[in-house]
Amino acid sequence: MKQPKIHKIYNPAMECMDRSKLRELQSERLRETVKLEYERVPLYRKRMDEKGVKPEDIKTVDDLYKLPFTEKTDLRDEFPYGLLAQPLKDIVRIQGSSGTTGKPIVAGYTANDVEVWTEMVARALTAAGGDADDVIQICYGYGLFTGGLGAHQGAERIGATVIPMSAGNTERQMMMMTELGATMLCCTPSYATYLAETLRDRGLLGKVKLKAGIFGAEPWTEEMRTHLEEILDFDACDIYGLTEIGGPGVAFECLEKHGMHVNEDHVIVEIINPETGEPLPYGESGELVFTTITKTGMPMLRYRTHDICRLIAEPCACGRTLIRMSRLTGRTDDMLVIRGVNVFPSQIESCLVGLEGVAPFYMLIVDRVNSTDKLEVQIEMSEEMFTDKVSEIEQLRNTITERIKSVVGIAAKVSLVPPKSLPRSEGKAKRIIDNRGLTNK
Amino acid sequence: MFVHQISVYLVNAHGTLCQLTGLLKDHDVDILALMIADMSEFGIVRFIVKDEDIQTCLDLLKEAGYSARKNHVVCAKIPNEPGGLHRALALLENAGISIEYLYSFNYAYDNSALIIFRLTDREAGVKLLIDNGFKVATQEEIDSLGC
Repeated sequence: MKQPKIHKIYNPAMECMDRSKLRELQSERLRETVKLEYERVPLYRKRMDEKGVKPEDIKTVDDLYKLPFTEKTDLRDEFPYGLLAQPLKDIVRIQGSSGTTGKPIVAGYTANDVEVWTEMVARALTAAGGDADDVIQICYGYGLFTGGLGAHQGAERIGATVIPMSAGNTERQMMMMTELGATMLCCTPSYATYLAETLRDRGLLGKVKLKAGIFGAEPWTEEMRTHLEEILDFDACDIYGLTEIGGPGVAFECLEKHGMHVNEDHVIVEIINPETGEPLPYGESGELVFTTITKTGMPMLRYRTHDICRLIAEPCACGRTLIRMSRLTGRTDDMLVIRGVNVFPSQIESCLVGLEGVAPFYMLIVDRVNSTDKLEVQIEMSEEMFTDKVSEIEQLRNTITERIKSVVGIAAKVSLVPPKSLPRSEGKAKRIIDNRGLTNK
Repeated sequence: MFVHQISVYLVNAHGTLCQLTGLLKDHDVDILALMIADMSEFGIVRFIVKDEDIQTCLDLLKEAGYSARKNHVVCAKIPNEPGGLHRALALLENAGISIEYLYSFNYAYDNSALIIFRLTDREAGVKLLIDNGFKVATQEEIDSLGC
Protein backbone atom coordinates (compact mmCIF):
# COMPACT_ATOMS: atom_id res chain seq x y z
CA MET A 1 0.00 0.00 0.00
CA LYS A 2 1.23 3.46 -0.89
CA GLN A 3 2.04 5.54 2.19
CA PRO A 4 0.68 8.89 3.25
CA LYS A 5 3.35 11.45 2.38
CA ILE A 6 4.79 11.89 5.86
CA HIS A 7 8.46 12.82 5.72
CA LYS A 8 10.60 10.93 8.21
CA ILE A 9 14.17 12.10 8.64
CA TYR A 10 16.89 9.92 10.17
CA ASN A 11 19.35 12.64 11.15
CA PRO A 12 17.59 16.02 11.05
CA ALA A 13 20.62 17.85 12.49
CA MET A 14 22.61 16.95 9.39
CA GLU A 15 19.94 16.49 6.75
CA CYS A 16 18.18 19.79 7.51
CA MET A 17 21.19 21.88 8.45
CA ASP A 18 21.26 25.51 7.48
CA ARG A 19 23.15 25.66 4.19
CA SER A 20 25.72 28.22 5.31
CA LYS A 21 26.51 26.08 8.36
CA LEU A 22 26.69 23.03 6.10
CA ARG A 23 29.19 24.85 3.92
CA GLU A 24 31.36 25.61 6.93
CA LEU A 25 31.22 21.98 7.97
CA GLN A 26 32.12 20.87 4.45
CA SER A 27 35.05 23.27 4.30
CA GLU A 28 36.40 22.05 7.62
CA ARG A 29 36.08 18.40 6.60
CA LEU A 30 37.55 19.09 3.16
CA ARG A 31 40.66 20.64 4.74
CA GLU A 32 41.19 17.51 6.85
CA THR A 33 40.67 15.20 3.89
CA VAL A 34 43.07 17.09 1.64
CA LYS A 35 45.70 17.09 4.36
CA LEU A 36 45.25 13.35 4.84
CA GLU A 37 45.52 12.64 1.10
CA TYR A 38 48.61 14.81 0.71
CA GLU A 39 50.38 13.23 3.66
CA ARG A 40 49.40 9.59 3.11
CA VAL A 41 48.65 8.93 -0.56
CA PRO A 42 51.61 9.29 -2.95
CA LEU A 43 49.42 9.65 -6.05
CA TYR A 44 47.54 12.63 -4.58
CA ARG A 45 50.72 14.25 -3.34
CA LYS A 46 52.22 13.88 -6.82
CA ARG A 47 49.12 15.23 -8.56
CA MET A 48 48.84 18.19 -6.18
CA ASP A 49 52.53 18.98 -6.52
CA GLU A 50 52.15 18.90 -10.29
CA LYS A 51 49.33 21.44 -10.04
CA GLY A 52 51.31 23.47 -7.53
CA VAL A 53 48.64 23.09 -4.84
CA LYS A 54 49.48 22.70 -1.18
CA PRO A 55 46.99 21.50 1.44
CA GLU A 56 47.00 24.98 2.99
CA ASP A 57 45.75 26.42 -0.32
CA ILE A 58 42.46 24.63 0.26
CA LYS A 59 40.60 26.72 2.78
CA THR A 60 36.95 26.41 1.79
CA VAL A 61 34.72 24.55 -0.63
CA ASP A 62 35.36 27.43 -3.06
CA ASP A 63 38.93 26.16 -3.44
CA LEU A 64 37.78 22.73 -4.57
CA TYR A 65 38.42 23.49 -8.24
CA LYS A 66 42.16 23.75 -7.50
CA LEU A 67 42.32 20.04 -6.69
CA PRO A 68 43.15 17.31 -9.22
CA PHE A 69 40.51 14.90 -10.46
CA THR A 70 40.44 11.18 -9.74
CA GLU A 71 39.49 8.67 -12.43
CA LYS A 72 38.39 5.05 -12.31
CA THR A 73 41.64 4.19 -14.09
CA ASP A 74 43.53 5.54 -11.05
CA LEU A 75 41.88 2.87 -8.92
CA ARG A 76 42.89 0.26 -11.46
CA ASP A 77 46.47 1.54 -11.70
CA GLU A 78 46.83 1.75 -7.92
CA PHE A 79 45.17 -1.64 -7.40
CA PRO A 80 44.81 -2.91 -4.76
CA TYR A 81 46.11 -0.79 -1.91
CA GLY A 82 47.86 2.19 -3.55
CA LEU A 83 45.18 4.72 -2.67
CA LEU A 84 44.73 3.70 0.96
CA ALA A 85 45.30 6.51 3.43
CA GLN A 86 45.46 4.12 6.40
CA PRO A 87 47.54 1.06 7.22
CA LEU A 88 45.87 -2.22 6.33
CA LYS A 89 45.36 -3.04 10.00
CA ASP A 90 42.83 -0.22 10.18
CA ILE A 91 40.98 -1.36 7.07
CA VAL A 92 38.06 -3.57 8.05
CA ARG A 93 36.36 -4.18 4.74
CA ILE A 94 37.07 -4.50 1.02
CA GLN A 95 34.34 -3.92 -1.53
CA GLY A 96 34.82 -3.90 -5.25
CA SER A 97 33.35 -3.57 -8.67
CA SER A 98 34.40 -4.09 -12.24
CA GLY A 99 37.07 -1.85 -13.69
CA THR A 100 37.24 -0.65 -17.25
CA THR A 101 39.34 -3.60 -18.36
CA GLY A 102 39.84 -7.11 -17.05
CA LYS A 103 41.07 -5.99 -13.65
CA PRO A 104 38.52 -5.14 -10.94
CA ILE A 105 38.75 -2.10 -8.72
CA VAL A 106 38.59 -2.36 -4.97
CA ALA A 107 38.01 0.10 -2.15
CA GLY A 108 39.16 -0.24 1.47
CA TYR A 109 36.90 0.85 4.33
CA THR A 110 37.88 1.70 7.88
CA ALA A 111 35.36 1.11 10.67
CA ASN A 112 34.57 4.82 10.38
CA ASP A 113 33.86 4.44 6.64
CA VAL A 114 31.51 1.50 7.19
CA GLU A 115 29.76 3.63 9.80
CA VAL A 116 29.44 6.58 7.39
CA TRP A 117 28.07 4.32 4.68
CA THR A 118 25.65 2.64 7.06
CA GLU A 119 24.25 5.98 8.13
CA MET A 120 23.81 7.06 4.51
CA VAL A 121 21.72 3.96 3.77
CA ALA A 122 19.78 4.41 7.04
CA ARG A 123 18.86 7.92 5.88
CA ALA A 124 17.72 6.58 2.51
CA LEU A 125 15.55 3.87 4.06
CA THR A 126 14.04 6.36 6.51
CA ALA A 127 13.34 8.83 3.70
CA ALA A 128 11.39 6.09 1.90
CA GLY A 129 9.28 5.64 5.03
CA GLY A 130 11.26 2.86 6.73
CA ASP A 131 11.60 2.30 10.47
CA ALA A 132 11.95 -0.44 13.09
CA ASP A 133 8.50 -1.83 12.28
CA ASP A 134 9.52 -2.75 8.75
CA VAL A 135 10.47 -6.10 7.30
CA ILE A 136 13.05 -5.38 4.62
CA GLN A 137 13.82 -7.90 1.91
CA ILE A 138 17.20 -7.40 0.28
CA CYS A 139 17.74 -9.04 -3.07
CA TYR A 140 20.88 -7.25 -4.11
CA GLY A 141 23.80 -9.62 -4.39
CA TYR A 142 25.86 -9.93 -1.20
CA GLY A 143 29.59 -9.90 -1.71
CA LEU A 144 32.13 -7.54 -3.20
CA PHE A 145 29.27 -5.64 -4.83
CA THR A 146 28.18 -2.93 -2.39
CA GLY A 147 24.44 -3.38 -2.94
CA GLY A 148 23.71 -6.31 -0.63
CA LEU A 149 25.83 -5.46 2.39
CA GLY A 150 25.13 -1.74 2.06
CA ALA A 151 21.37 -2.15 2.19
CA HIS A 152 21.75 -4.74 4.94
CA GLN A 153 23.76 -2.49 7.26
CA GLY A 154 21.40 0.43 6.79
CA ALA A 155 18.32 -1.71 7.37
CA GLU A 156 19.75 -3.12 10.61
CA ARG A 157 20.70 0.40 11.67
CA ILE A 158 17.09 1.60 11.58
CA GLY A 159 16.14 -1.48 13.56
CA ALA A 160 14.13 -3.13 10.81
CA THR A 161 13.76 -6.87 10.41
CA VAL A 162 16.12 -7.83 7.61
CA ILE A 163 15.63 -10.74 5.20
CA PRO A 164 19.05 -11.12 3.54
CA MET A 165 17.94 -12.97 0.41
CA SER A 166 20.75 -11.89 -1.92
CA ALA A 167 20.11 -11.99 -5.67
CA GLY A 168 18.29 -14.52 -7.80
CA ASN A 169 15.89 -17.42 -7.29
CA THR A 170 12.63 -15.60 -7.94
CA GLU A 171 10.44 -18.45 -6.65
CA ARG A 172 12.08 -18.27 -3.25
CA GLN A 173 12.01 -14.45 -3.26
CA MET A 174 8.26 -14.48 -3.86
CA MET A 175 7.63 -17.12 -1.23
CA MET A 176 9.59 -15.24 1.43
CA MET A 177 8.11 -11.90 0.47
CA THR A 178 4.52 -13.10 0.79
CA GLU A 179 4.99 -15.48 3.75
CA LEU A 180 7.18 -13.17 5.85
CA GLY A 181 5.19 -10.09 4.95
CA ALA A 182 8.04 -7.94 3.62
CA THR A 183 7.11 -4.24 3.73
CA MET A 184 10.17 -2.90 1.92
CA LEU A 185 12.22 -4.18 -0.97
CA CYS A 186 15.81 -3.37 -1.95
CA CYS A 187 17.07 -4.49 -5.38
CA THR A 188 17.72 -3.24 -8.90
CA PRO A 189 14.72 -1.59 -10.61
CA SER A 190 14.79 -4.15 -13.41
CA TYR A 191 14.66 -7.05 -10.98
CA ALA A 192 11.89 -5.29 -9.03
CA THR A 193 9.90 -5.07 -12.26
CA TYR A 194 10.50 -8.72 -13.01
CA LEU A 195 9.41 -9.69 -9.49
CA ALA A 196 6.33 -7.45 -9.66
CA GLU A 197 5.23 -8.84 -13.01
CA THR A 198 5.78 -12.42 -11.89
CA LEU A 199 3.80 -11.84 -8.68
CA ARG A 200 1.00 -10.35 -10.74
CA ASP A 201 1.00 -13.17 -13.26
CA ARG A 202 0.81 -15.73 -10.46
CA GLY A 203 -2.10 -13.93 -8.82
CA LEU A 204 -0.05 -13.31 -5.66
CA LEU A 205 -0.44 -9.53 -5.42
CA GLY A 206 -3.13 -9.91 -2.74
CA LYS A 207 -0.50 -11.42 -0.42
CA VAL A 208 2.09 -8.68 -0.96
CA LYS A 209 2.46 -6.15 1.89
CA LEU A 210 5.10 -3.86 0.38
CA LYS A 211 4.80 -0.16 1.14
CA ALA A 212 8.05 1.00 -0.42
CA GLY A 213 11.07 -0.08 -2.40
CA ILE A 214 14.52 1.41 -2.83
CA PHE A 215 15.93 0.68 -6.22
CA GLY A 216 19.39 1.45 -7.50
CA ALA A 217 22.64 0.19 -9.00
CA GLU A 218 21.37 0.88 -12.50
CA PRO A 219 19.71 3.77 -14.32
CA TRP A 220 15.93 3.74 -14.64
CA THR A 221 13.15 5.98 -15.83
CA GLU A 222 9.93 7.64 -14.60
CA GLU A 223 8.02 5.24 -16.87
CA MET A 224 9.52 2.31 -14.98
CA ARG A 225 8.54 3.93 -11.69
CA THR A 226 4.95 4.42 -12.83
CA HIS A 227 4.77 0.83 -14.06
CA LEU A 228 6.18 -0.57 -10.80
CA GLU A 229 3.94 1.57 -8.58
CA GLU A 230 0.87 0.60 -10.60
CA ILE A 231 1.51 -3.09 -10.12
CA LEU A 232 2.64 -3.09 -6.49
CA ASP A 233 0.73 -0.03 -5.17
CA PHE A 234 3.73 1.20 -3.19
CA ASP A 235 6.36 3.95 -3.26
CA ALA A 236 9.30 3.25 -5.55
CA CYS A 237 12.30 5.40 -4.61
CA ASP A 238 15.63 5.85 -6.36
CA ILE A 239 19.00 5.50 -4.66
CA TYR A 240 22.45 6.32 -6.03
CA GLY A 241 25.90 5.23 -5.06
CA LEU A 242 29.19 3.87 -6.24
CA THR A 243 31.86 1.73 -4.65
CA GLU A 244 34.53 4.39 -5.10
CA ILE A 245 32.61 6.89 -2.97
CA GLY A 246 31.10 4.50 -0.46
CA GLY A 247 28.34 2.45 -1.98
CA PRO A 248 24.58 2.92 -2.25
CA GLY A 249 23.21 5.85 -0.26
CA VAL A 250 25.50 8.60 -1.56
CA ALA A 251 22.21 10.14 -2.71
CA PHE A 252 18.61 9.05 -2.15
CA GLU A 253 15.05 10.05 -2.91
CA CYS A 254 12.51 11.16 -0.33
CA LEU A 255 8.79 10.56 -0.78
CA GLU A 256 8.59 13.73 -2.91
CA LYS A 257 10.31 11.56 -5.57
CA HIS A 258 11.83 14.51 -7.30
CA GLY A 259 15.58 14.04 -7.38
CA MET A 260 17.96 12.34 -4.96
CA HIS A 261 19.27 14.18 -1.89
CA VAL A 262 23.05 14.08 -1.76
CA ASN A 263 24.52 13.38 1.69
CA GLU A 264 26.48 16.60 1.60
CA ASP A 265 27.87 16.33 5.10
CA HIS A 266 29.80 13.30 3.80
CA VAL A 267 30.50 14.24 0.19
CA ILE A 268 30.85 17.42 -1.83
CA VAL A 269 29.10 17.21 -5.15
CA GLU A 270 30.01 19.14 -8.31
CA ILE A 271 28.80 19.20 -11.88
CA ILE A 272 31.54 19.84 -14.41
CA ASN A 273 31.82 20.29 -18.12
CA PRO A 274 33.12 16.85 -19.14
CA GLU A 275 35.20 18.32 -21.97
CA THR A 276 36.98 21.10 -20.13
CA GLY A 277 36.67 20.04 -16.49
CA GLU A 278 35.27 23.48 -15.60
CA PRO A 279 32.72 23.49 -12.76
CA LEU A 280 29.18 24.36 -13.89
CA PRO A 281 26.55 26.27 -11.90
CA TYR A 282 23.65 24.45 -10.21
CA GLY A 283 20.92 23.50 -12.64
CA GLU A 284 23.18 22.88 -15.59
CA SER A 285 23.61 19.42 -16.99
CA GLY A 286 27.10 17.93 -16.86
CA GLU A 287 29.31 15.27 -15.32
CA LEU A 288 28.78 14.37 -11.70
CA VAL A 289 31.91 14.62 -9.51
CA PHE A 290 32.24 13.66 -5.82
CA THR A 291 34.77 14.46 -3.14
CA THR A 292 34.48 12.44 0.06
CA ILE A 293 35.01 14.45 3.24
CA THR A 294 34.46 11.94 6.05
CA LYS A 295 36.01 8.75 4.69
CA THR A 296 39.41 7.88 6.10
CA GLY A 297 40.34 4.54 4.46
CA MET A 298 40.33 5.52 0.82
CA PRO A 299 39.11 9.10 0.52
CA MET A 300 38.56 10.43 -3.00
CA LEU A 301 39.23 13.92 -4.30
CA ARG A 302 36.99 15.02 -7.16
CA TYR A 303 36.11 11.56 -8.40
CA ARG A 304 34.69 11.68 -11.90
CA THR A 305 31.66 9.40 -12.13
CA HIS A 306 31.11 9.94 -15.88
CA ASP A 307 27.39 10.01 -15.06
CA ILE A 308 25.52 12.95 -16.53
CA CYS A 309 22.81 14.75 -14.55
CA ARG A 310 22.06 18.15 -13.03
CA LEU A 311 21.75 19.45 -9.48
CA ILE A 312 18.51 20.83 -8.08
CA ALA A 313 19.22 23.59 -5.57
CA GLU A 314 15.62 24.62 -4.82
CA PRO A 315 14.46 23.65 -1.31
CA CYS A 316 12.58 20.35 -1.11
CA ALA A 317 9.13 20.03 0.48
CA CYS A 318 10.46 17.24 2.73
CA GLY A 319 12.42 19.73 4.82
CA ARG A 320 15.87 18.47 3.95
CA THR A 321 18.31 21.15 2.91
CA LEU A 322 20.54 18.64 1.13
CA ILE A 323 20.85 19.40 -2.56
CA ARG A 324 19.26 16.97 -5.00
CA MET A 325 20.65 15.33 -8.12
CA SER A 326 18.34 14.58 -11.02
CA ARG A 327 17.93 11.19 -12.62
CA LEU A 328 20.92 10.25 -14.73
CA THR A 329 20.52 11.26 -18.35
CA GLY A 330 23.54 9.49 -19.78
CA ARG A 331 27.22 8.73 -19.56
CA THR A 332 30.27 10.56 -20.85
CA ASP A 333 31.89 7.21 -21.61
CA ASP A 334 30.55 3.96 -23.01
CA MET A 335 29.83 2.20 -19.71
CA LEU A 336 26.71 0.05 -19.61
CA VAL A 337 24.89 -1.12 -16.51
CA ILE A 338 23.56 -4.61 -17.04
CA ARG A 339 21.69 -6.32 -14.23
CA GLY A 340 23.32 -3.87 -11.85
CA VAL A 341 26.82 -4.70 -13.07
CA ASN A 342 29.00 -2.08 -14.73
CA VAL A 343 30.17 -3.24 -18.13
CA PHE A 344 32.69 -1.51 -20.39
CA PRO A 345 33.20 -2.56 -23.99
CA SER A 346 36.94 -2.48 -23.23
CA GLN A 347 36.41 -5.35 -20.75
CA ILE A 348 34.81 -7.43 -23.47
CA GLU A 349 37.66 -6.52 -25.76
CA SER A 350 40.16 -7.78 -23.21
CA CYS A 351 38.42 -11.17 -23.40
CA LEU A 352 38.97 -11.34 -27.14
CA VAL A 353 42.65 -10.48 -27.12
CA GLY A 354 44.79 -13.55 -27.66
CA LEU A 355 42.28 -15.35 -29.81
CA GLU A 356 43.46 -16.67 -33.15
CA GLY A 357 44.42 -13.95 -35.57
CA VAL A 358 43.85 -10.26 -35.12
CA ALA A 359 41.49 -8.82 -32.50
CA PRO A 360 38.08 -9.37 -34.03
CA PHE A 361 35.44 -6.75 -34.61
CA TYR A 362 32.65 -6.98 -32.06
CA MET A 363 29.43 -5.37 -30.91
CA LEU A 364 27.42 -5.45 -27.68
CA ILE A 365 23.67 -5.70 -27.97
CA VAL A 366 21.66 -5.10 -24.83
CA ASP A 367 17.99 -5.84 -24.57
CA ARG A 368 15.42 -6.16 -21.85
CA VAL A 369 13.34 -9.31 -22.13
CA ASN A 370 10.72 -9.95 -19.41
CA SER A 371 12.30 -7.15 -17.38
CA THR A 372 15.65 -8.94 -17.43
CA ASP A 373 18.69 -7.53 -19.16
CA LYS A 374 20.20 -9.70 -21.85
CA LEU A 375 23.65 -9.10 -23.21
CA GLU A 376 24.61 -10.49 -26.55
CA VAL A 377 28.17 -10.18 -27.79
CA GLN A 378 28.40 -10.49 -31.53
CA ILE A 379 31.87 -11.23 -32.80
CA GLU A 380 32.86 -11.34 -36.40
CA MET A 381 34.31 -14.70 -37.34
CA SER A 382 37.53 -13.75 -39.06
CA GLU A 383 39.17 -16.03 -41.58
CA GLU A 384 41.89 -16.76 -39.03
CA MET A 385 39.36 -17.84 -36.42
CA PHE A 386 37.37 -20.04 -38.78
CA THR A 387 38.02 -23.74 -38.73
CA ASP A 388 36.23 -26.50 -40.57
CA LYS A 389 35.41 -28.33 -37.35
CA VAL A 390 32.18 -27.71 -35.49
CA SER A 391 33.75 -28.79 -32.21
CA GLU A 392 36.51 -26.18 -32.51
CA ILE A 393 34.05 -23.39 -33.26
CA GLU A 394 31.91 -24.45 -30.33
CA GLN A 395 34.98 -24.52 -28.14
CA LEU A 396 36.01 -21.05 -29.27
CA ARG A 397 32.56 -19.77 -28.40
CA ASN A 398 32.61 -21.46 -25.01
CA THR A 399 36.04 -20.02 -24.26
CA ILE A 400 34.85 -16.50 -25.03
CA THR A 401 31.65 -17.00 -23.02
CA GLU A 402 33.61 -18.20 -20.01
CA ARG A 403 36.15 -15.38 -20.23
CA ILE A 404 33.38 -12.79 -20.32
CA LYS A 405 31.67 -14.45 -17.39
CA SER A 406 34.83 -14.38 -15.32
CA VAL A 407 36.01 -10.88 -16.30
CA VAL A 408 32.70 -9.02 -16.40
CA GLY A 409 30.79 -11.21 -13.98
CA ILE A 410 27.66 -11.68 -16.04
CA ALA A 411 26.56 -14.29 -18.52
CA ALA A 412 26.48 -13.15 -22.12
CA LYS A 413 25.27 -14.87 -25.22
CA VAL A 414 28.17 -15.05 -27.66
CA SER A 415 27.35 -15.15 -31.35
CA LEU A 416 29.94 -15.58 -34.06
CA VAL A 417 28.75 -13.68 -37.09
CA PRO A 418 30.16 -13.53 -40.62
CA PRO A 419 33.02 -11.11 -41.37
CA LYS A 420 32.05 -7.51 -42.15
CA SER A 421 28.45 -8.14 -41.17
CA LEU A 422 28.49 -5.71 -38.21
CA PRO A 423 27.80 -2.07 -38.98
CA ARG A 424 30.89 0.13 -39.23
CA SER A 425 30.75 3.75 -38.25
CA GLU A 426 33.08 6.48 -39.31
CA GLY A 427 35.41 7.73 -36.63
CA LYS A 428 35.07 6.16 -33.19
CA ALA A 429 33.78 2.60 -33.45
CA LYS A 430 30.27 2.23 -32.16
CA ARG A 431 30.31 -0.84 -29.96
CA ILE A 432 26.92 -0.77 -28.32
CA ILE A 433 23.34 -1.16 -29.36
CA ASP A 434 21.14 -0.61 -26.31
CA ASN A 435 17.50 -1.42 -26.97
CA ARG A 436 16.31 -0.95 -23.38
CA GLY A 437 15.09 2.62 -23.68
CA LEU A 438 16.59 3.74 -20.36
CA THR A 439 17.60 7.23 -21.38
CA ASN A 440 16.04 9.97 -19.26
CA LYS A 441 15.43 13.38 -20.75
CA MET B 1 45.58 -38.82 -53.18
CA PHE B 2 43.53 -36.00 -51.75
CA VAL B 3 40.84 -33.75 -53.10
CA HIS B 4 40.14 -30.11 -52.33
CA GLN B 5 37.19 -29.13 -50.23
CA ILE B 6 35.89 -25.67 -49.42
CA SER B 7 34.30 -24.93 -46.02
CA VAL B 8 32.21 -21.85 -45.37
CA TYR B 9 30.86 -20.45 -42.11
CA LEU B 10 27.19 -19.54 -42.26
CA VAL B 11 24.85 -18.17 -39.63
CA ASN B 12 21.93 -20.53 -39.17
CA ALA B 13 19.23 -18.24 -40.49
CA HIS B 14 16.65 -18.30 -43.22
CA GLY B 15 18.11 -17.77 -46.69
CA THR B 16 21.83 -17.88 -45.94
CA LEU B 17 22.46 -21.13 -47.84
CA CYS B 18 20.44 -19.94 -50.81
CA GLN B 19 22.53 -16.77 -50.88
CA LEU B 20 25.67 -18.88 -51.05
CA THR B 21 24.42 -21.17 -53.83
CA GLY B 22 23.21 -18.09 -55.71
CA LEU B 23 26.70 -16.64 -55.63
CA LEU B 24 28.17 -19.88 -57.02
CA LYS B 25 25.48 -20.12 -59.70
CA ASP B 26 26.17 -16.57 -60.89
CA HIS B 27 29.74 -17.60 -61.57
CA ASP B 28 28.96 -20.97 -63.19
CA VAL B 29 30.49 -23.04 -60.42
CA ASP B 30 29.26 -26.63 -60.37
CA ILE B 31 28.86 -28.11 -56.89
CA LEU B 32 29.78 -31.80 -57.07
CA ALA B 33 29.07 -32.71 -53.47
CA LEU B 34 27.89 -30.77 -50.44
CA MET B 35 27.18 -31.34 -46.79
CA ILE B 36 26.11 -29.10 -43.96
CA ALA B 37 27.02 -29.36 -40.31
CA ASP B 38 24.18 -27.55 -38.64
CA MET B 39 24.25 -26.23 -35.09
CA SER B 40 21.51 -24.15 -33.52
CA GLU B 41 23.12 -20.83 -34.36
CA PHE B 42 25.58 -21.52 -37.12
CA GLY B 43 26.45 -24.04 -39.75
CA ILE B 44 29.49 -25.08 -41.75
CA VAL B 45 28.87 -25.82 -45.39
CA ARG B 46 31.44 -28.09 -46.99
CA PHE B 47 31.51 -28.70 -50.69
CA ILE B 48 33.59 -30.03 -53.53
CA VAL B 49 34.08 -28.25 -56.83
CA LYS B 50 36.33 -28.89 -59.81
CA ASP B 51 39.97 -27.93 -59.52
CA GLU B 52 39.57 -25.10 -62.03
CA ASP B 53 36.84 -23.53 -59.89
CA ILE B 54 38.58 -23.61 -56.53
CA GLN B 55 40.48 -20.35 -56.69
CA THR B 56 37.49 -18.60 -58.26
CA CYS B 57 35.34 -19.85 -55.39
CA LEU B 58 37.74 -18.74 -52.69
CA ASP B 59 38.12 -15.28 -54.24
CA LEU B 60 34.37 -14.92 -54.66
CA LEU B 61 33.65 -15.96 -51.10
CA LYS B 62 36.26 -13.67 -49.65
CA GLU B 63 35.00 -10.75 -51.66
CA ALA B 64 31.43 -11.43 -50.58
CA GLY B 65 32.52 -11.39 -46.93
CA TYR B 66 32.40 -15.09 -46.04
CA SER B 67 34.83 -16.87 -43.77
CA ALA B 68 35.97 -19.69 -46.01
CA ARG B 69 38.79 -22.15 -46.02
CA LYS B 70 40.26 -24.73 -48.37
CA ASN B 71 41.40 -28.07 -47.02
CA HIS B 72 42.28 -31.55 -48.19
CA VAL B 73 40.07 -34.54 -47.65
CA VAL B 74 40.20 -38.20 -48.60
CA CYS B 75 37.76 -39.34 -51.23
CA ALA B 76 37.54 -43.12 -51.04
CA LYS B 77 35.89 -45.40 -53.53
CA ILE B 78 33.75 -47.69 -51.44
CA PRO B 79 32.43 -50.78 -53.24
CA ASN B 80 28.69 -50.72 -53.77
CA GLU B 81 27.96 -53.84 -51.71
CA PRO B 82 26.67 -54.67 -48.24
CA GLY B 83 29.43 -54.16 -45.67
CA GLY B 84 31.59 -52.05 -48.02
CA LEU B 85 31.55 -48.96 -45.86
CA HIS B 86 31.78 -50.98 -42.68
CA ARG B 87 35.02 -52.61 -43.81
CA ALA B 88 36.63 -49.19 -44.35
CA LEU B 89 35.39 -47.84 -41.04
CA ALA B 90 36.53 -50.93 -39.12
CA LEU B 91 40.02 -50.55 -40.54
CA LEU B 92 40.21 -46.92 -39.41
CA GLU B 93 38.74 -47.74 -36.03
CA ASN B 94 41.29 -50.51 -35.37
CA ALA B 95 44.10 -48.14 -36.31
CA GLY B 96 42.84 -45.51 -33.88
CA ILE B 97 42.07 -43.01 -36.62
CA SER B 98 38.90 -41.05 -36.00
CA ILE B 99 36.47 -39.62 -38.49
CA GLU B 100 35.67 -35.93 -38.03
CA TYR B 101 32.89 -36.27 -40.57
CA LEU B 102 32.01 -37.99 -43.82
CA TYR B 103 29.59 -37.51 -46.66
CA SER B 104 29.03 -38.92 -50.09
CA PHE B 105 28.90 -37.80 -53.67
CA ASN B 106 25.74 -38.17 -55.69
CA TYR B 107 27.79 -39.95 -58.34
CA ALA B 108 28.80 -43.58 -58.58
CA TYR B 109 32.28 -44.25 -59.96
CA ASP B 110 33.82 -47.57 -60.97
CA ASN B 111 30.75 -49.23 -59.40
CA SER B 112 31.76 -47.58 -56.13
CA ALA B 113 30.28 -44.91 -53.94
CA LEU B 114 32.50 -41.88 -53.55
CA ILE B 115 32.79 -41.10 -49.86
CA ILE B 116 34.56 -38.01 -48.51
CA PHE B 117 36.39 -38.57 -45.22
CA ARG B 118 37.83 -35.96 -42.93
CA LEU B 119 40.18 -37.93 -40.69
CA THR B 120 42.23 -37.09 -37.62
CA ASP B 121 45.27 -38.46 -39.41
CA ARG B 122 44.79 -38.00 -43.12
CA GLU B 123 48.10 -39.46 -44.31
CA ALA B 124 47.92 -42.61 -42.20
CA GLY B 125 44.26 -43.10 -43.02
CA VAL B 126 44.68 -42.95 -46.76
CA LYS B 127 47.69 -45.31 -46.64
CA LEU B 128 45.73 -47.77 -44.53
CA LEU B 129 42.81 -47.80 -46.97
CA ILE B 130 45.03 -48.25 -50.02
CA ASP B 131 47.11 -51.00 -48.34
CA ASN B 132 43.88 -52.85 -47.71
CA GLY B 133 42.65 -52.77 -51.27
CA PHE B 134 40.54 -49.61 -51.28
CA LYS B 135 40.93 -47.10 -54.05
CA VAL B 136 40.86 -43.37 -53.56
CA ALA B 137 39.75 -40.83 -56.14
CA THR B 138 42.18 -38.22 -57.41
CA GLN B 139 41.31 -34.60 -58.08
CA GLU B 140 41.48 -35.40 -61.84
CA GLU B 141 38.87 -38.11 -61.46
CA ILE B 142 36.66 -35.69 -59.51
CA ASP B 143 37.11 -33.09 -62.23
CA SER B 144 35.69 -35.51 -64.80
CA LEU B 145 32.41 -35.68 -62.89
CA GLY B 146 29.48 -33.37 -63.40
CA CYS B 147 28.73 -31.27 -66.41
